[in-house]
Amino acid sequence: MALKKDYPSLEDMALVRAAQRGDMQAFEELMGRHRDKIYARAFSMMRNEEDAIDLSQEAWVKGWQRLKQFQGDSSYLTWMTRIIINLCLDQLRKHKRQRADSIELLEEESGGVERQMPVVTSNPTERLERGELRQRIDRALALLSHEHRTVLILHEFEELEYKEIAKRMQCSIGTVMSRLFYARRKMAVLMAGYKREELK
Amino acid sequence: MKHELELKLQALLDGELTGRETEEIAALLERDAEASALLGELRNTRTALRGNELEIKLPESREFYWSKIEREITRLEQAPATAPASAWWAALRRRYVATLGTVGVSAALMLTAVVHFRELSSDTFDVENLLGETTALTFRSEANKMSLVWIYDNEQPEAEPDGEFDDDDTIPQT
Repeated sequence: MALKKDYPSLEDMALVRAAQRGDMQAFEELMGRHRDKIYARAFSMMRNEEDAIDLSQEAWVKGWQRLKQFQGDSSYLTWMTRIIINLCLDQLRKHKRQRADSIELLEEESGGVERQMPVVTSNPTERLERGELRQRIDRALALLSHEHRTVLILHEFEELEYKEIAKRMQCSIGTVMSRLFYARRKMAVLMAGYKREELK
Repeated sequence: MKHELELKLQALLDGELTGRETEEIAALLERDAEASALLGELRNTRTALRGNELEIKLPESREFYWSKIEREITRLEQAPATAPASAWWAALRRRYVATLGTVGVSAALMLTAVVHFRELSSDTFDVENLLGETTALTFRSEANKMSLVWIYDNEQPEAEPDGEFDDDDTIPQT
């Protein structure tokens, strides 16, 4: 008689190996451990709860289907994060195709109003508690365009290099640099605005 | 400030410049206050963001969330096993059943025609419907290459074919 596995006590790689042999319970344990992070990445990119749930579930289904391809070169969470990022980027590309060319879209690369913004000399996030800082960052991120937000997420949170971001976003390195620059400038202005509001 | 320089400042911050470019930008920063201020802003933003992503929780229970994933995995795993059989059957149906049906009906009609044809010695014949309530009469003219069928109710007085076919037409009477 086979011993009942104590899944919560197993490390990710042991669960992956078991799941690669068809053990669905092991896969469920992996999902249980990382579901919040995968959902959070989808939500940060899509800014829509329903899309984030659907896409993260799709990512887990793909994760199961492609499990045999996982060799353990990165952590399982990193591997799953790559899947969800690619799904979100595909979805955003579909949305972009549906959008008509607008001034907003043309300004994505050229910077729009961000070109005219004065440099924020003081640090708007100084002396903020971590929780408050995170809230402000999230509020500011929500106001960015998909393109600016995505490049910031990939660079600052996923810590990808320009080249890797360009590959994922299917654009040139120059475009990545430009988007990242204007995204950072806009973030600085938005966070400085929150500080001014607070001082009032 | 030129956009190219702005991007080089950012690349310096992100460690994406070559050694020589790094030296050039470092030298420029010593004499350009505007560039230095911009680099300061970019650095503050970068520092604030790094490691400070808001933690977001999945708004569904683990069980409910997993049930949808599991259902989809099961559906996809069952699909390859059943797809070939259903595809095979669908193709067979599309390709042969309609043809076989047509052939079957045609064969039945031809058999009926042959049986009746053998019973007839002339080129004109009639067929009486076996149903009690109605009677059908069929005329066939080989000369005119045409057939005519009358169906009438036995309860009613027998109707004469009128109009188009007169007694002196070439259709022989039985």
